[in-house]
Amino acid sequence: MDVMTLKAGDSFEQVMGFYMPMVYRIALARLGSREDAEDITQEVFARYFKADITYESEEHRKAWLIRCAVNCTKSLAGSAWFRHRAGDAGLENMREDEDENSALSPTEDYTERLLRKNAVLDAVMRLPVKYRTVIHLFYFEDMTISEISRAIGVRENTVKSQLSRAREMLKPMLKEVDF
Amino acid sequence: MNFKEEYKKAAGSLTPDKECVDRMKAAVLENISRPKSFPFKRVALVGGAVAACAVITVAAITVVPLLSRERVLNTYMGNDAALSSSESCAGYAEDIGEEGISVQSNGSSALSDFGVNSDDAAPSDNLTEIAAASESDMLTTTVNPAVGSSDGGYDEEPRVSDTLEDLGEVFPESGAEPETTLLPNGASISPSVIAPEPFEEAPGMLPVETSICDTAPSPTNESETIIGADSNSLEAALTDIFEVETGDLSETIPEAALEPLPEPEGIEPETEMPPYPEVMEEETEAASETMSAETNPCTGAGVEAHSLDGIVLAAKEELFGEGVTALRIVGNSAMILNGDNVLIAYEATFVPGSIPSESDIPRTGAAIEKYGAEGEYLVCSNDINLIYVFDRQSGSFINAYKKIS
Repeated sequence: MDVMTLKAGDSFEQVMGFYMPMVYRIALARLGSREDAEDITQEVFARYFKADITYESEEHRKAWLIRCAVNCTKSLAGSAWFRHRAGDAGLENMREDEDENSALSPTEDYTERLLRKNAVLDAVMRLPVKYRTVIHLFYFEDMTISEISRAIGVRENTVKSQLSRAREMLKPMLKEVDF
Repeated sequence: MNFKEEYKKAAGSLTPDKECVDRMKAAVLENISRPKSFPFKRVALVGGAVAACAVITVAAITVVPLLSRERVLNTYMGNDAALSSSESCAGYAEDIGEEGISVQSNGSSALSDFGVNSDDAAPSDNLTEIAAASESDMLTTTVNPAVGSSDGGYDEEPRVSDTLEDLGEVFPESGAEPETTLLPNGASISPSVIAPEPFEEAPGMLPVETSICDTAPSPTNESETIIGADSNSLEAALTDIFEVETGDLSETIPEAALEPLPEPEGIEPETEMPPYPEVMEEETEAASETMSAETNPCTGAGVEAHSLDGIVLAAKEELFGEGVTALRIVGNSAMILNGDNVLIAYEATFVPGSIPSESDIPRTGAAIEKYGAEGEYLVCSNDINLIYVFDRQSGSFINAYKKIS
């Protein structure tokens, strides 16, 4: 990773290349739609560069982006247009895209992995939004509970309880998986 | 199988493709390079909030006084509204008075002065009584002809505003004395007498610039005391009349009339004859001397004595009520007196010489009483509302007097 300045407007390409996948995944994990995730990503980075803040550390910048992504998804999820739209249409489209991308080598091993991967992702996407967020940040972004707490603006005990409940909800769906 | 590894593999594959990344970069660049537009949304929100607050404020300022006034008027007219004291009535009167309707502020005292006991009834009822009494002549108050309709009466049901405005006319200001009504002879009557119709000046009315009404009326018993009379004023009025009509009495009164009046049959003079007022003693004595036994038809029940020619006659208590002492005719006015006080007032209702209808002249009945004025006799209706004067010899109608109180 190239060294980035802590001033937001000084390294557009570097910031976009490094943090865009993270913001995109967070938005996708919360909304379940690629199109919505793209819109949220654009909105988050537009705010980032407009704010033109000099951050204290790289952790600060990451937390700012995660917090902005969560807030933007909340705003979009609270809109009337989003609430009246079909809820899981995006998730269905996402799985179809994955299937199309993986259809080039239909071996048995790949099929098993694909089924297992889809099973894990499908189980996570069946969780409530707040549980999806902490699962994603904890297991994929490797953030500690305190970092998640600061990033999404809730208490650590809340993060712990949400993680615990999310695991309890995933266990019946993923019996062969160790948490 | 570890969930963390499996989830990293699954979520790691959820990456935007290169076209998507380029599209998002271009959109972000375009967004941040766009000049900051005018904040229409923020302005609309702030402006809308300010406009809503202004509308609410204006509505409150406009509507609240109207609602308060409606409540006051509804309280006045509502049958269910029971105001417990006269002070509350006065308070409402003051409130309405501030809105341009002049109402006497001490409403309770004003109502008491005009025969309505505001402590016994709800103020709203009192006001209703005032409106009704002004229409039906039941209330002993003075009606300004300008208050009513063009003919002096009330053709329509009095509305609230009319009633209050009428009250404002009757009570022009706090503490002011109500207007007095002039009798046909020019004398004034205190506010205890209501005049439903404007007085039409009858021909031959004698102007007497004298007030005979000084005694305050009783607020509780309307029949007891209505009009006070000043004996000095009465004396002056009678003197003026005599000077105009009869001139010197000594020249016109025959000698036979100077003889003393005969005693009424079966009546004890000490008990039946109520004492005349002191100021009238000279007149009555002089008048009694002018009557002769032949010209005095004072026979029968109810006729006890009479004095001057057609002016002062003794009246009967059984007919006109307890305490009545005399019937006095002054010009176009007739009065039933109790000493100095006028119990019942009459005014001429027919032009002298005109003939009333037969229904207006009850010639029979127990209430018919004859009074032996010279050349005349009087007939009183059963309800004592009318007094008719006829010529004794010809029986022709001379005049009629209608009760005005």
